[in-house]
Amino acid sequence: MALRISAASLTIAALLLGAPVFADDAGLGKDLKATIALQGLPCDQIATTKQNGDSDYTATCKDGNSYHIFVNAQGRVIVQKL
Amino acid sequence: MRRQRLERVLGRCRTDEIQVLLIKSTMRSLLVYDRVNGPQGCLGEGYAPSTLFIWGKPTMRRLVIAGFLALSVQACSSMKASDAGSKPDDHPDAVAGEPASAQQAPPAAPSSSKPLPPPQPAPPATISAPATGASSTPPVSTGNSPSPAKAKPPIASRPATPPGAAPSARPAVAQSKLQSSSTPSPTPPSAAISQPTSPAPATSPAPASSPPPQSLPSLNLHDLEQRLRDTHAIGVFAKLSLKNQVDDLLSAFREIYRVANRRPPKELRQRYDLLMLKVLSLLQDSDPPLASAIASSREAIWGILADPDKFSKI
Repeated sequence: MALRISAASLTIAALLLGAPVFADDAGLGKDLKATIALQGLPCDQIATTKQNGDSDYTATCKDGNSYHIFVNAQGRVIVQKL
Repeated sequence: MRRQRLERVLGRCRTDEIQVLLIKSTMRSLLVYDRVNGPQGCLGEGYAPSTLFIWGKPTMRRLVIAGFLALSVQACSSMKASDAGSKPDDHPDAVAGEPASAQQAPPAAPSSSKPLPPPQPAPPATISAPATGASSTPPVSTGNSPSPAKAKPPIASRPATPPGAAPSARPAVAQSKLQSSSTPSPTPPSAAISQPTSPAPATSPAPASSPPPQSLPSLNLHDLEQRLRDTHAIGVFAKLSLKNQVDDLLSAFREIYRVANRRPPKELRQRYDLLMLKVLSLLQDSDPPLASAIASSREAIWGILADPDKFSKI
């Protein structure tokens, strides 16, 4: 019985800890999408994101567009269409 | 005992802030979730984003059900947030209603879920309207004017937390936002202000046309800037990108004023308007009070930018 309860606790803990990770992904996608839109480039919705390094991402939109988004040495956000 | 503790904790929460899921109809199992403010919400700092109050026998099945419910609630909340950010096109008013800052305010206010007093203040005309006797309008001060949506009336009426209990652990930023939004409360819109003056209908149009010069003091640039820095409605990349664009625009103004003290060309006004629209579109769903504040300060900010003397003092 104790084993079952602890297993359930672990399951719940894993679920609760996993949820913020999803939320962070959603926040990053929203941020990248806003950044792309601020540069006047099209992106209906972010499909996938890949982190290439610090402040360096590759985002793929559902409409097929891909962008390289990074901060250059001058502190400017650069969005390059791939 | 647990019931008393739960009731004490829930006493600090508003019903629209938390989500209480009744797992069993016998009121033996409850799941309480602060869906608005998460771990720093009214449940207090000691409570996790999802706090389970379960009394009765903690059986395996009950725990698993509670876990899945908690997950589904969090998933729904995060999906809702992302959905809100992903469809700014639902508010065409923000794009269409470019010149009239007062016209942009109303769409922002209804998007907040709380019952609000009639929307936006205010731009210049209503602010400088003659004082209406002993009306309840406080002395109007300034740029924090908008943001009526943040002034959550229920918070004021929330029962005071017991002295021993941990007070609401809202971050200082949120507190300052609340203060800045609730203190001035210029919520009485133009209609409310013009009502007392209605006995003289012939003169009522006159005060509306006089005030533009007095609108500039209503701007609080530093407050707006700080609120933009603090808002969670815009991500880090987007904030940095916006800052780049603001810096570019300011550089363009500097270049013009360096050559000659002349009025900025229309092109700069278009760039300014476009930048404002970008900011508003980012804020209107996730931070409507700040969007309203910026929208209502739009002309005042342009007044500063377009005046070389005022611009040099920035």
